Amino acid sequence: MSETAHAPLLEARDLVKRFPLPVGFVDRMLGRVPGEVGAVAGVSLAVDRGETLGVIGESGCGKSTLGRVLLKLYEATSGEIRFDGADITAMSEAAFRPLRRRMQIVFQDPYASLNPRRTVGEIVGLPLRLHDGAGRREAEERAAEFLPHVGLSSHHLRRYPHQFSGGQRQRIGIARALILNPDFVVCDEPVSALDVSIQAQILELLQQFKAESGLTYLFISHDLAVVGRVSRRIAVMYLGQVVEIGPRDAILRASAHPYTRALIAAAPRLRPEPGVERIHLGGDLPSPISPPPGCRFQTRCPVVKQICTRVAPVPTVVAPGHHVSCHLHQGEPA
Amino acid sequence: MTATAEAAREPLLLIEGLTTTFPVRGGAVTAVDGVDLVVHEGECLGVVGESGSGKSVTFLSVLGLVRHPGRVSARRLRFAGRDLAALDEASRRDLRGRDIAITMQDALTALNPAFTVATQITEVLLAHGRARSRAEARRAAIDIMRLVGIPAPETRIDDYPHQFSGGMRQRIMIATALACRPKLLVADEPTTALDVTIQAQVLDLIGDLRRELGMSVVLITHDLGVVAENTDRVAVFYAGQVVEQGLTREVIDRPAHPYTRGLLASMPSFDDLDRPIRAIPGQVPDPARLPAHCRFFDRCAEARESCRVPVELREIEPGRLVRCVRAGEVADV
Repeated sequence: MSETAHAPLLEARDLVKRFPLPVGFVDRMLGRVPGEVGAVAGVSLAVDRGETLGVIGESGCGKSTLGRVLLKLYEATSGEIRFDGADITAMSEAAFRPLRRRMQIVFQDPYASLNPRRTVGEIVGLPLRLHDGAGRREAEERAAEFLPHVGLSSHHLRRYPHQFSGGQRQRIGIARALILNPDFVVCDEPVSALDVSIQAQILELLQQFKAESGLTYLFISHDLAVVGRVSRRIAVMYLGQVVEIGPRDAILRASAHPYTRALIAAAPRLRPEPGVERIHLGGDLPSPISPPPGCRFQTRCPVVKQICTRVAPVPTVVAPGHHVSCHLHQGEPA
Repeated sequence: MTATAEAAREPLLLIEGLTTTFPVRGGAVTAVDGVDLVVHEGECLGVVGESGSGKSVTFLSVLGLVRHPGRVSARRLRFAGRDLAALDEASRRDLRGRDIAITMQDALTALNPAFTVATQITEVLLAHGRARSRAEARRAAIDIMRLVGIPAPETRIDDYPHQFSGGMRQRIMIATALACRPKLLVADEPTTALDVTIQAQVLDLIGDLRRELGMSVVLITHDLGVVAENTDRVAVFYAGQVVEQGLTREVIDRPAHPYTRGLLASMPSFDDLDRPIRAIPGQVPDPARLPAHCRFFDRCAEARESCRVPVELREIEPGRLVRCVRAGEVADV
């Protein structure tokens, strides 16, 4: 087997994405330097071929920004992204183009992510026109052939997004992402906007594509049970950083980071264990504009120590493939 | 029997045959169709269903918040021994906020951005005569903010809603609803917009306040996990009707309606991650073209020709109601 077959499909090293804060007129006149918000603050991870890496975290933790930076939809501020062996971080749009078709995204909001003035045929056919040079007719024909794969039919071709339910719209979004037969798909909260019974339909559809074509997913969600169902490995994000990453069962059943434990304890269960009290996380997520020094979780951590307020923890190996950034754990650096 | 003894036996809220319709071009949409529900003193009732199932409209109807041209009718609608249908608008307004309070899903839009929190909470107290002066109302408002866990309420009371985080805003809305110490709190998706750690805080808060103030809570949600952890009884809504009702534990452990079973099977289980999930095929019927027979018929794996009849909610065990003709038959499969 060649070496590339073992290498991860996608790899990120020390990835940082900062957005400038809006500057007012007066500040600009006074020559004040605009502030920045660090949405992704030094993330390293690898996604293996054919796996689903789940990313969990609460709103504002940077998980969606991470997905977009990995796809070069946002330019990374610093760090490195490698896709299938190639360093794509600073690649020009022209050089990146052949790789772009192999990297796609399914968005959370099936209402906002579809152009209301385009027909389903135009929406699903557009990637073919952009990447395959297909003409209008050909793109529409191929879109018509593809729709049954997502549970729609060719007679939906001339309809507009508003004529569909939320679940059907998400099917349109999935068709648009998958019609180019990509290798890597970022699913950014793909079922969060949908009703429970429809969520399962969309999860089944995504699983089915993976089984058929060996897709690799980065599956972003705030829902632990959903991420647990679809992922082989899970990364937990807090305030722009991955605080814990590892095999699914290690993360969900033997979590090492106090934040992961709190997330798991807070998730509502159908069969709550009697007598088990929820771990309470005090307060809210700190602002990513001015994160606390030392460990970013220290302001809410139930087991915070002196060192946590001064020194930022580095990823440590707690078990094979299971890394955690927390001073509670001493071990080999990852 | 004395009148008080009789009132003690009557549930706090009694809804019978509640129907809410909205006229549309060429007909009417029936959002709520013949709903029967009771809320007992001190209990937490979960109301679960998907979007458009009528769970919110039911309680907006009870509160008299359905606007023209929507039409509300009911066989019986009683609250704390009083006939709600017989109340005029003024008495109803008086009841709202004082005896029955509602919190909406989105605190950012439910609170007025142009007024401070102090103004919004004291207004409720003054309007319902729970405070004689502004100063007294302000003191009471600070107390209630402290009760819902807002740090430094003495200073934060003069802040505007946008100056609070999502979780804190939700607490302020709950504070506004609780200002008059209502007998019944209707919490409409109180945590849907919140992160899971904040959701846990808010739900625990509602539970603590319920016990402390001895009020009843109706928790409207689409999340069966939230229902399982926080409610005593549950009513499952589908297409404008209650399809199943009973003790929460029993409904979740032994669901009797195929829709409830389908919902449970379609949820990934945190306790059994490898359990395959099974989606409910198809979609909710169009509310403007509801079938006369069982509304779940087209999506039901257990449907038979005998299901093509109008189905009533019937009691299969004491306190356990199901709207399925085959309920006894298929429950034990």
